[in-house]
Amino acid sequence: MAANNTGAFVRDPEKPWEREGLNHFETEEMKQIAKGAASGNVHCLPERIKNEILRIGISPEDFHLGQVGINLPDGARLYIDGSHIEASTSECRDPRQVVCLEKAMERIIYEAALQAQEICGRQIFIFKNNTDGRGNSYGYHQNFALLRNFFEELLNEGSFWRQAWLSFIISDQIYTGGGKVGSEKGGKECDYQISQRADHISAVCGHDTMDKRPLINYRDEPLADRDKWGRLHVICGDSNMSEIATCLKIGAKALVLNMLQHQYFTREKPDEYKNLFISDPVGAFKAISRDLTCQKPLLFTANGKKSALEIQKTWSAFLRNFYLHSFCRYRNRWIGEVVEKREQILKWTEKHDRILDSILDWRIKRRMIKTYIRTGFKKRGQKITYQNENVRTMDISYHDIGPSGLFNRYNQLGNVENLAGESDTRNYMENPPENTRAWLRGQLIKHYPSYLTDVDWGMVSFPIIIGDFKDKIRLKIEPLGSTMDKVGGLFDGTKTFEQFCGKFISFYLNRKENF
Amino acid sequence: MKQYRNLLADVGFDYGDPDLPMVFGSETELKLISPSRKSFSSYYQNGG
Repeated sequence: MAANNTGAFVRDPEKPWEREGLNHFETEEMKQIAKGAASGNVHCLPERIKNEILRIGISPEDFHLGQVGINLPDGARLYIDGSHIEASTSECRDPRQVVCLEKAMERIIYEAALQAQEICGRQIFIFKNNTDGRGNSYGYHQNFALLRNFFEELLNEGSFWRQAWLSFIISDQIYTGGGKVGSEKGGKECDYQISQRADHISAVCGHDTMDKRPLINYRDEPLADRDKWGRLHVICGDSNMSEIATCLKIGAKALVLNMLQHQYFTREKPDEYKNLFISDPVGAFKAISRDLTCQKPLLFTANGKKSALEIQKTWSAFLRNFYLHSFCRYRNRWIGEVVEKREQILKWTEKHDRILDSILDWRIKRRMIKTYIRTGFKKRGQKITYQNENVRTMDISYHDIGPSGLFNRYNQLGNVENLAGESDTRNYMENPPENTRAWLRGQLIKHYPSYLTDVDWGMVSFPIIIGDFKDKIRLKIEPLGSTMDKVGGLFDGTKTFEQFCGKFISFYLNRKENF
Repeated sequence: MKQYRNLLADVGFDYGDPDLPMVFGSETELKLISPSRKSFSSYYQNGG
């Protein structure tokens, strides 16, 4: 890193991994971008996304945009946060929706990066992972809307809910881990580990998401009515290329949280529930990450020493008992799929079954690397270790979202079990989930982007124009308030924004509940 | 249980609804790198 004559820092082009050297707004163009971001006047056209990616694609390390947000027709949000692109899915009620929305977002970002390459004449790589292998980490955050009371209990030090939740999130890495070569941040040395984030987690709980990262994040931004909702922000998990891993990662957590929220353990307390009291959860999280068998008894519980696999099997029994008995009222197809797929994966884990080498990220990547090491030795007679530069590159290029990425190439060959088809991905590039507030947000972005003056998770702002009458509205939207079922009529047969406004006013005045 | 039902109703979930009363999503931070040939590994250039 060096200082130029304007006093601004420029990056050493030979050290692209370094995070230092982010400049602030130096050029007139960048000041304009910053001004647009500060005003919150976000235009919603897909072209805008490409322009923003193009800007950082040309020279991603040379400036710091702050947060420039673009809202998408699928209700999702894409923004530039410091030196990285951050993509949020819209609100979902089925983990397969999350899978499809993530794949759709990868496609949008990749297409924008291709345009940026043409302009700047340099290759651009975009990675969906959590570490650069040099001690820097970037996150994958899972969000769950909870009832306010339960959210507060869950964060309460000493609460049973918190203990139970910790036992689940430190051990689910055995099927959600992204896999990583080596260790970082002074962690115990190893050739390969399951979790990308484990070396970067250093506290049980806390507010920080950048330095002293916790297992339980205290962030309290419900992005909805604070008296009713709490948004649990889970930052210790990995990004996944594998669709099955993404689905289980989100789906199983939603099932566990719903079960706890439903006060399951106050009515039933099976003996195994003592397995959920784990001492030193941070140490256990790191130790599990290094146990590639997943079966070493590394966790000290109130029932003695247990392995990550045993803890997850304990949860399997609870989940099956709660969700799969005949009088369970939940009828979503995905619930049975998640419970059973998860159980199957745990059985395969117990048997060290190689089928997991085509399902779970940490297993797929490890197989690729082991193959490279073995064939390298056969061809050249050289001993290749995990410290080899090509092995380290494989570790990162596995997560390249473009077709040259190792996961995507392996997937193209038909070697990986998937959930989202091409039509699902294309659908979610343009359409929001129908059963959450994302639907209204997405429809407004799709049909009337130029009229929207502000868009956020819990709010949309637009003018009301009916003939000579002009006003403006800042409409609060609740997570379940503006679904297609509830407000779909606003767009039926509506051809102009003025017609929409007429319908909206009528609907607004006659509404029986909040949006 | 009654309180739980009331809380669910308060945020818009119907207790008798067969859909799981959960809303969720994800945020992904993606790393963008535009490396010079020299500084990046030769892996891409060799094509595997």
